[in-house]
Amino acid sequence: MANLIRRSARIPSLIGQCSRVSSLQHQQLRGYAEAVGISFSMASPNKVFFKDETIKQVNVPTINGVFGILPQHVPTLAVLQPGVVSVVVNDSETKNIFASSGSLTVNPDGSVHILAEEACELSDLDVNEAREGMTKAQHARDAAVEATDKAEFQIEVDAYEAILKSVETKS
Amino acid sequence: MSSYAWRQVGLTYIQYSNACARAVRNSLKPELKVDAMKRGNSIIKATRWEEGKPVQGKYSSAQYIEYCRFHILCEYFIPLSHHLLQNVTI
Repeated sequence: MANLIRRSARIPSLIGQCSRVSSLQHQQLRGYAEAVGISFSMASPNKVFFKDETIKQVNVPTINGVFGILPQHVPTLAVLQPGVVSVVVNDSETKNIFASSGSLTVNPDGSVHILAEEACELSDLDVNEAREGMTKAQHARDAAVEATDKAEFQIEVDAYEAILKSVETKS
Repeated sequence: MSSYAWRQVGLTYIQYSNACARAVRNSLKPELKVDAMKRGNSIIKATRWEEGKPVQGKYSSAQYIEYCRFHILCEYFIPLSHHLLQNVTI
């Protein structure tokens, strides 16, 4: 009798185990097609571009290379390189934003945050201003004596290159 | 790779980020550039208060930060070290 009571006490935990197994199978069956999307936020100190909006994909230029993020991406931290962050909102709409630098966070819950030091729409960039800035930065780099100054102007030159590339590919 | 040259001379990512942001601000269309340039320069705004009134033009932000540092040092760390020294028995 005591044995029977002990066994019956285990039933709820057995049921619990079964339901856990079935939910695990359900998760494994789920593919990208069923995933709802990414909760995406992107901001710079002076402007918010996206706030918890649901999107399909985002491509981000980081200092380790450009990578695309789909729903349920593995949690990641990265720092940005100057370049175009392209946000695939849905099948018919893609937004391109130029970000100077900043950080990218893919959280454990699948949400994605981008904080940029300076970011703007591609249409806000001016080719002539960028060309002029690049020439100035190149001259400053060549005239610099200290290694740190040289490196700093080289960073600017690289940034101008990225700006020009993004503006030229757009048009 | 040239993109890591800055790291080899001892620059940090913050400095890298600043330089990139400067380039982007400088490449904006002229009408947007005016406002953008303003926000690039000021990171901290400090106002010194004396007897309940803000005192302006006495210190620049950088000088004020130095002043704060000095006071934190004088009012906190130096008494702390005195306190510690008094309680140490050699």
